[in-house]
Amino acid sequence: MEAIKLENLSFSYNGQNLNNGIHNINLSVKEGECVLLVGTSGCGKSTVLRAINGLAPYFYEGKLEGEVFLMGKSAKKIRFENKSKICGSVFQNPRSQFFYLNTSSEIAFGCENQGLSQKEIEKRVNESIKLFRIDNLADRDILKLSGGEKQKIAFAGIYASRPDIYVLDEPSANLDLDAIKDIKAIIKKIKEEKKTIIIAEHRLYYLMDIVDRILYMDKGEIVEEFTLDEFKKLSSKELRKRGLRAPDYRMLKKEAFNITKKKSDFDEKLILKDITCQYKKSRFKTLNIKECQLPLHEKIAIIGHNGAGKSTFVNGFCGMNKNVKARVYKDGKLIPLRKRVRESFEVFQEVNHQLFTNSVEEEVSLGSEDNTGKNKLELLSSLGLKDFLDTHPMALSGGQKQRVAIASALYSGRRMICLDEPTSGLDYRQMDKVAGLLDTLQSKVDLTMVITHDLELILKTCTYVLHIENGQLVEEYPLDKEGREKLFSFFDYEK
Amino acid sequence: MKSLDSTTKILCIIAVNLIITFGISIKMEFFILACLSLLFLTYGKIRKCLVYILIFAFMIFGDKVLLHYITIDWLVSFLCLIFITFRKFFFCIMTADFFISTTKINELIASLEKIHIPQVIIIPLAVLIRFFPTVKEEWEHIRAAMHMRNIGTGFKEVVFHPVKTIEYMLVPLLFSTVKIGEELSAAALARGIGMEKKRTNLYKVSFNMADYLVMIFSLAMVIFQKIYGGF
Amino acid sequence: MENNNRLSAKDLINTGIYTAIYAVVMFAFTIVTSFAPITYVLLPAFLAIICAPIYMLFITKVKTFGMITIMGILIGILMMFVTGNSWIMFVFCALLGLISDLITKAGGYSSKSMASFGYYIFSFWPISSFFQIWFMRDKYFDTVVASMGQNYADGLKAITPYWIIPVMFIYTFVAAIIGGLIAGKINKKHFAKAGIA
Repeated sequence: MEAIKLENLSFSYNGQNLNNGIHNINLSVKEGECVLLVGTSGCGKSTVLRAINGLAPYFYEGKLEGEVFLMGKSAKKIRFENKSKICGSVFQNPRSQFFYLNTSSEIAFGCENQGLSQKEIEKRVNESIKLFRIDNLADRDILKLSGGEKQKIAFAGIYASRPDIYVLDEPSANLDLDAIKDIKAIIKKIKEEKKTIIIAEHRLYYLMDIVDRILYMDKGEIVEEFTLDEFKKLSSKELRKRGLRAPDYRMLKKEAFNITKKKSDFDEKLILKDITCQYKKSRFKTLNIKECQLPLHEKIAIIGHNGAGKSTFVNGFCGMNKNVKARVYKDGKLIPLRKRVRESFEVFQEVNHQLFTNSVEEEVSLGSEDNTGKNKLELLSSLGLKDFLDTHPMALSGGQKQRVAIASALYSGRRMICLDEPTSGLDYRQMDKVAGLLDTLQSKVDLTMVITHDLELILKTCTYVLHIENGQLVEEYPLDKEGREKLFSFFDYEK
Repeated sequence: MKSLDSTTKILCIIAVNLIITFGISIKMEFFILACLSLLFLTYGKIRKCLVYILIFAFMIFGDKVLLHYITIDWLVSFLCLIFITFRKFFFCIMTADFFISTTKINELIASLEKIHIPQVIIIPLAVLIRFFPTVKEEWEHIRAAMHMRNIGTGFKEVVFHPVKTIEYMLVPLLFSTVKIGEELSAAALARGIGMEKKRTNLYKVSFNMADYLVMIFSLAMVIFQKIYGGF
Repeated sequence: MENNNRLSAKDLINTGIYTAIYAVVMFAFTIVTSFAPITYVLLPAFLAIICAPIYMLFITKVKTFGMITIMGILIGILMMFVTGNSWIMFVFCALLGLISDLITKAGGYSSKSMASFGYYIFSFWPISSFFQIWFMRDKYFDTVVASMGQNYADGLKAITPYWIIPVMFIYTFVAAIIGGLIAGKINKKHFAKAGIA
């Protein structure tokens, strides 16, 4: 039987985002099949998922035409509240998709809404916990969990409500390598139970031995269909033409690179000494690095697993985390903290937090109004923002917001710029733009640092790697031939 | 010991609240303090209990001793407000704190469902409690960003550019929390939250002896205060 | 939406979210300003200004009767069960929520002026924390008499007059009008421009 059938399905959103709709989608997914939707951001893959789980048009208002059949039944005839019995959905942001603050209750939430008996709920919660091996997460405060752990709870909650169809909208977008490995194991288990799965993703590598079929979407339509084997045979050039990420990191190994500098060649650099961070309540040092160097006019990638202390390191460097103590030297001279604070700037992962005004132009000069010497327009056009001078920053895309934040940093004369995971959840084209942005930055500022889990970004643009783990410096190396080997072994997700 | 049910604690708050509104004598104040301290102690919250007793002792001391030595008029009226008026509210705050520090949200929701509070109150209340820490977290991020961009929130800015200050603080907060809120709504809806069916709950709500005792006692105290004017 | 006159789960979640934002800002502001007693008396006015943008953005999402009432009830619950105010405050918050809801409904949930008027009424709620002192005035003065003597109590009565509460209503109302204007400006400048309101 067909688990999902879409017939001439079109959807257009009410109001602003007119582009992300879908047109004439025809799709049928057999029971027990696992289908992957790929395509650049805004290609409509999320909209297809929303039409399946009913959020479009119930929550995301708009016009829906055509038919959706779930397990052979017309979706129009199923009340929205009852759809959750058929479709379980996991979304991309682990922070915003839980309803309770306690993990066990959260797993039970879907069952509670279905009005199951207390005994049955308890049984199902325990089964979910057992199947996904998350005993350590039972009855915990959700706010204290990592993103990956939250995502596991989300999966367990969906599993407990026993849907036939799993609708997964970029479940790995905010996770690191280890967490993705766990999520992969979970999806595999769901597939082993012969459940139907439909996933939209940018990160493809972890799904390559799970999915049966891959659909490529562009501009709201399904353009191409691949079997897994066909998809694996695509060259990296063909993938990139479509704006897709590499499904296998080994593909990247073959690519040419052209960095010849050796470690000793970095003549201009900052030396950081005794970088420590100890919170008052804790007995341990969250960060404890004796010495490291940050070469100037390079693009430094900071890698490490979640919770390794990468963000603490960068926040401390920019003077935002007062618990971090460090001494920074340039040419043997100590740079005082105040100067460091004045000259550095961090682009947050959640860039929305650092945009305050109602137009790009005003945003750039905010906080440095007396800075009339520089040419604002020239700066904005060099960052590709010339056409958006009067646009509200919140109406821009994520990548454009990052550019606005950076423009404001450059305009206020910052010389050291750090970016925190600028490419999480981005497709290849957007990632490429971020890489281009880093190139532009390199010539404009002294120091460029980027915290990232994105191997493709590092290979594309970075020249130096700082590897932090458990608050300590593991290694630092230039991305020469030897450095690339080290980098690949860090990103080897099969080990 | 099995802990008290949330319903019982809610009843306690209402009882204390009513008793205070009826107006109480100093003997009664001591009596209520003793009852509340007992509650705190059964939950092992000794430090918190001591702090409350000390605050109360200080206010009684201020009322009965300090006030007699002060002759400045405006100071006396101000201290009266603290020592006498605030002392009445003190009990409400103490009970509320007991409720907050000993209740888990999921148990509270289960209890509210049990006593048939309508879903139109329970759902927003659950969201409200769930969303508090998120708003706080976003707020902290925004403060950090303002600091980094040299957007002041000091005394000078607040006094000379109050509207701008409100704008810079509230606008990013609203943008980011509204976005998270939308995602939360979508996720909750996709998991079948609704009001058509009767919801059930993972937690079993049952009243035990202690619950009944505390409830009956609270009720008795309210009646005692209302009709006989307390101790 | 299938049925426009009844509260949907989405409405309820939205109400919870906006009340949370409202409450966090309110608590944060109260804590920051609580060092001086004079700000305590002026607090209703300050809150009427600061919280206006949140309330007015909330109003743009309100299309059904009940949401504003629930917001009032929730604030009442918070004030009574979290911060330990009296039940009078709870009743008053719920009542003001209901009145504002009715006013906003009279404007069809689309009229800006009716929504603003609803807000002026809604912003009175913090005043109710003073009601208890007001209602208990005589009993309160009995206590003062008992510990300070009749003369003193008379003096105190003279400087804490009955009319303080009506005056509070007046300046809170004025503040709410100012808050409404600021909110309108911010709304137009930001939320409408970015397309979320």
